[in-house]
This record gives sequence, C-alpha cells and structure tokens, in this order.
Amino acid sequence: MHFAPELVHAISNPACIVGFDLTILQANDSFYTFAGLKKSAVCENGLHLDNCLVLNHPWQDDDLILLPFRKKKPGLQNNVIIRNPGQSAISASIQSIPLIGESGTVEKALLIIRDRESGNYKSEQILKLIDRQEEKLKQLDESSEEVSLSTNQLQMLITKQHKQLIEANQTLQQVKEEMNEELDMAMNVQTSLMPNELPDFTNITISSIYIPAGKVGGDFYDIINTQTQKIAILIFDVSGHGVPAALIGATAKMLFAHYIETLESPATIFSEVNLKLCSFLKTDHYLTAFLGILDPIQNKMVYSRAGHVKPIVYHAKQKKVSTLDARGSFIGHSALAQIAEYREDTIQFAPDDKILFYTDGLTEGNNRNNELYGKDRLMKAVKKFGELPLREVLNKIIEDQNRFRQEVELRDDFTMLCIQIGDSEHLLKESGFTKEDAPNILIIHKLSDIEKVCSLILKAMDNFGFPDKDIKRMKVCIFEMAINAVVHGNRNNSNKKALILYKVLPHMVTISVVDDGDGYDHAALPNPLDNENLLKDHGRGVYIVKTYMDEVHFNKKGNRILVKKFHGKSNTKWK
Amino acid sequence: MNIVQESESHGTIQMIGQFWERKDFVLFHEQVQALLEKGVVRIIVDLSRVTFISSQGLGLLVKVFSEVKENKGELLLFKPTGCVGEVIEISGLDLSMKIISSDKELASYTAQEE
Repeated sequence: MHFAPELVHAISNPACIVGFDLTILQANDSFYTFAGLKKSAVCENGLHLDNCLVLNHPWQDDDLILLPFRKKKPGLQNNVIIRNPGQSAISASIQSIPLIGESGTVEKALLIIRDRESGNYKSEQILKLIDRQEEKLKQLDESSEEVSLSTNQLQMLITKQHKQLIEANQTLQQVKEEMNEELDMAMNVQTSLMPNELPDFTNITISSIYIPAGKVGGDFYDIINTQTQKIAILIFDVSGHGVPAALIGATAKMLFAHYIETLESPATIFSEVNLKLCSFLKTDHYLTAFLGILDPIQNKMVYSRAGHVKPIVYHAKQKKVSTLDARGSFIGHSALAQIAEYREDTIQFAPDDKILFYTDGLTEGNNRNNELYGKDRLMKAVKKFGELPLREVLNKIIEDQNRFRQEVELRDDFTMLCIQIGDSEHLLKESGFTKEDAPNILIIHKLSDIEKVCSLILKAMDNFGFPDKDIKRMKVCIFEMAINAVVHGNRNNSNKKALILYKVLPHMVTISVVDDGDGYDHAALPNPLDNENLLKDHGRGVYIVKTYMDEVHFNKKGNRILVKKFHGKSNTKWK
Repeated sequence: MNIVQESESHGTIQMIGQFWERKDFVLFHEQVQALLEKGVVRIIVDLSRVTFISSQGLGLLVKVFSEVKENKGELLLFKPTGCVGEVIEISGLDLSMKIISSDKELASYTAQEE
C-alpha cells in the first residue's frame, strides 16, 4: 500500500487541519463499528445537517480517523455529526482523503474534521499526532529515498551488468568465431586425411562420397597400395561426433596405414590397431571398421569386420546382392583390449561386381515418422542401381535416401565408398602374363611416375640378390620402356595410362609395359649404329633395351613390350 | 641434376646426378649456348658424376655435338662411367663423338690440340 499524494500534502501542511479539538480515531471495521451514515440529522443545538455520521464508541487519544470509503468521492467536503457517546454531538466539516491500495483502487479515506461552529481548529493532540505522523512520513520519505537510491543503484547495476553482458556476448561471439575457424581447420585436416585423389588401379575403379552432418565427423576411409601391390580398402567410423571423434579417427588412420604397410592380414591389423588404441585412449570412444585386402589380379579379397556395418556386394552376373560378414569386436574400447577377436574371410569376385562400403549414418537417416532408412532399403537400392556406373550408383543411393528422409536433417555424417572389379583376364592377356604368374601391376601417367615404379622393381631384384650391374641395366631398360610408353605411345597425354606389370622371381625378372597408344612396328626401327643414324637425336631406346635384356617381345599391335632378364645369365649381346 | 660451368680457355660443363628430365635438358642446352655465345670453341661435358642417362639424354648430347660443330667448335664427353659409359657405347655415340676417359687423356688431348 502507498499513500495518495493528497494525504501526504494534507499532513505535511497542518494549517489545513489544525484547530479542531477532536480526537482522531484509527478506524478499522474489526475494532470499531459505526452507527452508520444517516442521510440527515438534527444536532442537539438544533443545527440540521445532512449526511451525518454517528460514532457509537468512545474515541481514543492519538487515533487517526480512517473510515471505510465507500460511495463518497474522495476530496469532497461533507458534513457529518460526530458524537462522542455520553457527550453532545458536534457538527464538523470533513475533508476526505483517499488511501490507495496496492491494486490501485481506493480502499479507505482519511477524514479530517473541522468544527464548524467554533472555527477554532487548534488541537495540541492533533498537532502531536500530526508531528508523529510527519515523523513517520519523514521516515517513510527516507525509506523512499533509500528505495530511490537503491533503485538508482539497481539501475546502475543493471546498466553495468547489461554492459558486462554485451561484453560477454562479444567475447562469446569471438570465441564462437575462433571455434568455427578451428572447426574449419579441423575439417580441412580431416578432409586432407581422406585420399585426395583416389588411387588409379588397373583392374578396379573406385568412387567415394562423404556427406557431413557437422563440420567434423568420425568417418574415415583410405585406399592403400600394399607392398605386394594389393589394394587395401579401409573404412571406419569413430563413435560420437565432432573434434574428439575426428582426432581419434586421425590417430587411428595413421595406425591403420602403418600396419597395412607391414601386415597383410586384416584380422591381424585390427588386433594391432586395437591394442595400440586401447593403450592410449582414455575415453569411452571406440570405432567400427571394415578392412579388405584385394588382389586385383586374382579378384580375391581377404577381409575382416570390426563391428562395422556389412558392406554390400552387387554380383553383376547374377544381378543379386549379398553382404560381407566376418564378425569382430569394436576397436579401441579399453574393455575389449584383451578379449577382442577378429575373424577373417575371403571372397572371390567376378568382373564388374561392385562392393559398397559405407558407414551407418547412411542407414540411420530417418524420416518424419522416425523410421530409419535401414539396411534393407539400401540393399534394394544397390540391387536396383547396381548396373549403373559407380558414381551414378552412389548418386542414386543418395537420392533414394533423401527421398525417404523427406527433408529430415541428417543426424550423422556418412561415407560411401564403392569399387568395381575389372576384367583381370583381359588385362593379363594384353600384358603377356597369365593369371598364374600373378604379376604386380602399376600405372603411370607421366614421366614423374617412373622413378617410383622403377624403385619397386629394383628393390625386389636386390632382395633376390641380382647383381648390381644387372640392376643398373634394368633401371635403364625400365626408364626406356616407360618413357616410350608415355612420350611416344600416349604422346604425353596424362589422361592416358601405361600399365607396368612385373614379376620378380629369384631366377628371373619379367616386365611388361602396355600403353594406350596405337603401337609401332619395332622391326622397322632404324639401327642407331648405322652411319646415317649416328647423328640423329632419337631412336636409341629400344636398341639399348634389346641389348641389355635376355628376351624382348612385342605384341602385334606394337603397344606392349615384354622383357625378361635371367639371374646369372651372361649377356651374349653385350660384354 | 646439377650443372656446374667452368670457364677457362675451354668451357667445361660438369653434370652431376641423373640426366633424363626435360628441365635438365633445357638447362644443359642453355649452358652450351651460353658458352658458344662467349666464343668458347671447346666444350667439355664432364660426365664423371652422372649416374644415369636416358636415350633422350644421349640424343641431346648428339644434337649439341652437331650445334657445336656447326659453330666450328668441339664437344668432348669426359669420363662417362658405369651404365652411362655403356649406353654411350651401345648406342654408338663413341663412333661420332670424342670420349675422354681420364684426366691424363684430357690433358694430353688438349695439349696436342693447342
């Protein structure tokens, strides 16, 4: 409750109320009862008054008259008869001042009474009361000032806190931007850990797609050419999302790459990576993985599955789909450090078969009814689109999943990696090798690719103890054959490829180089030793190869050269 | 491949490493041209530290040999070793170009010519 301004004014200005010898009651319905408001009354002295109020109880000193304000309007001069029981009634004019309740409505009125007849309003009692009331009001004012002061302080505090809030918001925004930048960097790092360009293999084609659900995720994949020229296909998914998953994924990828280089058993690789990850992962993260080691000549793949979703195989000839099992535990969870086991299986593919490796974000995409896309729908899609070229297969699957999701946002990122098996028989026939020879296959597109290929073959020769002289001569021949294929056969067109198939055995090295060119008639090549050719700046490469190698064969088209060098056989064509 | 050029009464181009990449061919050719422009008439191509040469590299040596000759100069191949020496011989470069096998032979040859 608060006092109306009029009251404050009236009490702080005693002139308007002093001089009346009247006790002021604190009226309260529960303590006092009123005789009621009469419409009119005749005073004992004969004065006739309208609207008289008669009190029927003795007045007490120091009481303030507070009468319930009902129908009377505040601030109006009203005539009342105030009678002290046992005493004569007196007439007086009253000033009614409203008291306003918290609800804003007038609840009570303060009546200040003036004697009409005497005109002498002075009353020490009233003055004392007024003084006391003033004192109370003063205290009230002080409280009000304090409240006012507190309000100012509060306002300042609010302003200060608002400012702090703005600053905090700015800091938060800055931190958010920095975090975003860092997330962008993390995303770049993660992306750079994926194969930037999928390796070019002779007998298989590869296509992949990564659909992110956030800036960084836990999906990783890799394609690695093993030391024995097999193809390692790795896909894994770290539990959880965001930077922690990405960091663990990056670490795991390095570990996988290391062990794939040195081991060729997927189950053994999983065991090693599991032990390593368990030894330093102190979180509850783990990863699911699938690893296949594909022999591109035999079209066989040895594989193992560590809790990962089963890859789907599209069998081109039968137009059927199947999944790759080989059960195994998750990788990297400390609870599984010692008990994890990984099975290994082998599958024989046929030409044009396709294998879809993926992460569960694909099948866990849900629609508005919260139904998952699921493995069955995915298998149907693979079967339906399996005959299309690789990239189209992936695009169609994404379309299918998008259609199913009905624009519901992805909750998890997902990766798809699809490979198609080639016709190794045809390839081998072109190269001059047989399937039983099981040669290694390498691809070159440009001259800068040659040194790597060369070093692999020479290293294998060195391992079998071929004489240093033969190794150096072989280097010359590999360069000559490869340069011929790239420069003359493919005419330096890096979109064309030259295949280098080789087999190094303890007693013999066989190398075949096939280019995409039209071929040439090797028999028609001029002899560089003829006088007319001595100062020509070309035409010596094949001649050198023929001189160094024990056997040299060309195919009919002339786009393939196959050479053999026997271990320990003395060269009859050169000293 | 590094090419170190020394200018004396004759010009020596010392080649180091493998000689089969196009950028090295360009560099070598420029070195020879620079010597010819300076009026050097005897150019010694020091192959003693070349470990590998392709048939294209051999072809360039023949081409440069002809260019020097056209400028009434002389190009010598100095101390080709290992496979480099072998392929030079196999492809018949030794039939048209002067091959110097040792420092002594070089000293003797240059003294005789002067």
